[in-house]
Amino acid sequence: MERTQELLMVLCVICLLPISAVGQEVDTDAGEAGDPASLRAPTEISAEDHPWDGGEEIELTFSLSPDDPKDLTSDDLVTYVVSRAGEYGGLYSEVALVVPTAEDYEQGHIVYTVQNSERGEPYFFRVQATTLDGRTSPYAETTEAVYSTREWFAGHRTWLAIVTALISGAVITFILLARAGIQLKIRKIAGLEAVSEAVGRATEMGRSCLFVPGVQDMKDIQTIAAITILARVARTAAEYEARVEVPTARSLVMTAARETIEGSYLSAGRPDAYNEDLIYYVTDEQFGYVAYLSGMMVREKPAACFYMGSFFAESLILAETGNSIGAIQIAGTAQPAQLPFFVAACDYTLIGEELFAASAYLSGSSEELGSLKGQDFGKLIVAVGIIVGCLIATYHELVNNGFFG
Amino acid sequence: MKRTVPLLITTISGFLLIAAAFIPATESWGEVVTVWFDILAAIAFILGGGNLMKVNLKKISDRVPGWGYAAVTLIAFLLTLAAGLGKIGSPPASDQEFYGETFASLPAAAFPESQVTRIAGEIPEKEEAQLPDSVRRQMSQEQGEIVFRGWILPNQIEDLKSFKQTLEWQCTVENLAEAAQPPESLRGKAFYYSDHSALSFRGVMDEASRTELAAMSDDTRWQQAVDSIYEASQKTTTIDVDAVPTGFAVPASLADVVSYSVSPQQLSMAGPMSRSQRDALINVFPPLRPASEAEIQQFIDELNGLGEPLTEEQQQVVERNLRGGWTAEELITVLDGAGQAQPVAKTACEMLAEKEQGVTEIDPFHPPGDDVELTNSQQAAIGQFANDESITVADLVDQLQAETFTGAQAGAMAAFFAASPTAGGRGKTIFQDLLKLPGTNLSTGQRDWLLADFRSEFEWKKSVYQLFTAAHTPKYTWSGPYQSGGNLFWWLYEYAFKPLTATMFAMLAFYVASAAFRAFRAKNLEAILLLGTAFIILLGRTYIGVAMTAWIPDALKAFRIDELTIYIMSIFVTTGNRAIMIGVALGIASVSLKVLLGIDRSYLGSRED
Repeated sequence: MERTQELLMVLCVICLLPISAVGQEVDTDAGEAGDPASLRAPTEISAEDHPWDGGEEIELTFSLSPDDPKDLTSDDLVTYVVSRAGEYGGLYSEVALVVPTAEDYEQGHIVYTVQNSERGEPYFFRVQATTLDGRTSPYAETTEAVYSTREWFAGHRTWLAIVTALISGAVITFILLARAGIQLKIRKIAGLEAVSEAVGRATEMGRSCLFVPGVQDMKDIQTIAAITILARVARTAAEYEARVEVPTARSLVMTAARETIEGSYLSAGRPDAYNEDLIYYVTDEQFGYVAYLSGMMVREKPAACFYMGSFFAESLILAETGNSIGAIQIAGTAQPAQLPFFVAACDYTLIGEELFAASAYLSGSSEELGSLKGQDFGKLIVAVGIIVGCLIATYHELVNNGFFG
Repeated sequence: MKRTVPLLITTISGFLLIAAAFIPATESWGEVVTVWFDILAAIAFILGGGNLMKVNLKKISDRVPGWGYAAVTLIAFLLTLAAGLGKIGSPPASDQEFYGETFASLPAAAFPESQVTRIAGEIPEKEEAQLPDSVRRQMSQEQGEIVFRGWILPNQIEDLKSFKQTLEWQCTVENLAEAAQPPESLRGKAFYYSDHSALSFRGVMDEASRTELAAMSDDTRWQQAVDSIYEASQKTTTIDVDAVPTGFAVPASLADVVSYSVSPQQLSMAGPMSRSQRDALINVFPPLRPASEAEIQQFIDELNGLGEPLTEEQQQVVERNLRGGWTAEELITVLDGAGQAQPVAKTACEMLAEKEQGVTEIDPFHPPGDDVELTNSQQAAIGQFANDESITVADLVDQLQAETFTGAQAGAMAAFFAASPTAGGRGKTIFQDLLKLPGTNLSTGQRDWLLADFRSEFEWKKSVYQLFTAAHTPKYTWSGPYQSGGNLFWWLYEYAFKPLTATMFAMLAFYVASAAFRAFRAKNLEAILLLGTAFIILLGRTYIGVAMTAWIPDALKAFRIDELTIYIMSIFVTTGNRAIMIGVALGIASVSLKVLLGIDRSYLGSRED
């Protein structure tokens, strides 16, 4: 019985020995305990490739020095100098000075991620404890090389990938459902309902329509959304025989707008009415562009003004000038800071996501309407997340304050 | 086909960008796609610019009302384009120029075979990296030897050292750095820049150097390069100078290349001027010695005699500045500090030898030597220098070097005097400090007297810079930024474009007022809430608004208008903003998917191909 107990104790001790991963051989020179002038080195150190990264990081794990007071406010605060070399016993260069956190003290070890490692190159690490008064410990070092490798997936973006997959999946699912013939109800958007009215008004008054696709380039999604709306507006204008003028702030937007409007006129059966000179480039500069637009609006007095896309400080200048000439104005932007100006000065405003829904709404195509439902699913996920998060935060706060005793 | 190709490009680029966000191996692909977009946008600008010209030229030719504005637009566009593209008035970028050197074009293949360095060693092979760009063209491995064609430069040595972090490689690099150098007589003078395919020579090439270089190779290209550098470096640049510093003498280090003629007053430089030569020529003004009480009083008396006598406060300012110079004790302390032994870094080969002997903890530094402190006689010499203006800095250096005086101490002394003010610097500081005092009213005479030395130092510095620029042959004339200060583009931007932009921006204030007048009317409940909120926010951001509710006690401070403002902005406005942004983000995801999957093709044009 006693023998069995002894064996069990030995087994427990063996099982409780710290287990380390690749390149972990512990090689420390602990120094003498009890000598106030000496500082003992960390007793364990291990290094391994940081998982799920681009191959530039290595994770170094080392224990605290036995002489660490584990107190951030102590005068004997112990910090750790991490050094790295390309060969064992070679020239080590310092890569970091690590100050332990409260969590490190609790866990009894520090995990530090060493950056800027070269893929495929061997690395050896050393850790030395130091105090504020200059005492240093012997080194704790790794004796086997560790290599950083590149994984196929960036782990720090896992949650982003999950959310992207969920939302994209929802959008695609609803598109497929719409294709399968399921009827989807979309609420009315006043601004988009008014597009035909605005173009018709311009036709009756014999004046042109002005379409401003924002001040950003084609790589901005708001500009793409604006161009897709432009396609619908141009088609309506072609059917009503109205003129649509599109001054742009970017050359690429001018090119895209010309292609779009030409296609719209073609699909409306009015290719002869297309005039490419009505779509022209003004200037890249924000205020130069709006100065031109203001002057043009005051001179030519378009009857309908559409401001769709990305706007900044020039939004109010445009909207107020349009107001002053009595034009019907429909605006849409995803810039939250500019929405109040458009709401105050324009007749109709597409707020945020309504700008992106406009193309689907105007086309009436079931596939595109399905994508709107997919967006709603995303909103549902966000709403559930907010509510759950609020409940957890509230509960946590109540527990901390001893509400539950 | 017309729509299919753009659709494919859109889909492939889009999914590449998504993949680049999640798959580390494809990160660079996303960057490539973005670069291609920028290239397309730049090409599209040509279309835009052409269209701009066409539209405005049509307005001018048709004489439509307001065609004059079209003419102004066109002229401004062409002028700005010319100024920007041509970089009119832009000096070459200082980090692209090689001041003090003369260049001749020389391809790497024409570099003398006799100067190719071969040392034993192996270039480390790396899985995912090649040799650094700076050495790739010149370095190769041949039959167990490392071959380097050319003379290695400091930046190449650093790049090679960072290529592999092993002592063996570091030692190999050190050996290569020592071997791949020009002959001793040409070291520090002759360089070869493979990135620029150019041979260069620092300073004036003498006949001996020319002969030595010419003898290295019979290649015609090499001979032509050497001859061309020889002729170009003989050029002497002369400028007229209005005034020279009192007692000016060409510094000894520049005696071979700089000459000054009294009549006419001209300064000449043989060959190109380097930055260190320029600085040595500028810093010919002796450092001020500590002023004695008698000198301080004389200074004040002279200043008083030129205008209104100084007030007590003004006198204190002047005395503080005159006494604030350096002292002999400070210089001695600095030199003793510089004489403290510093650890000397070991070479990689030394450390490698230690490692091979079995040393496990290699110290990268040699033990420091003994500290060097100034002797009593050296300290006395410094004390004498501080009080005797007839002793120059050069004399002091000679006296100090008669005993132990390290290079670090000499460097510290040079830095000490470079940082101490000259007569001009002190006069300008006194002038500026006096102006800061309220009620100071210096006469023109007093001002001119205080600034006289500063003005002459400034004129001298200008002359030296003029000589420095004239003696230099730019290598890359168009390397400077298009908007560098003082050039034509900068003038157009600062004095035409910016005021016009500011004018348009300023008009927003009036538009905000007119929009607010229209929007903030209590027509219904929502309008009343809007009006009330606007009232609180606007008032809360003004002093009078804060003062109006400052009387509210702390227990109810949440009702103070500034607190209400913060509450509304941080709670209600933030909530609204975030709600909109969430919707926008989801909308972006949806539109992007529709575009990438080809469901929405309206941006491509007609549905019919």
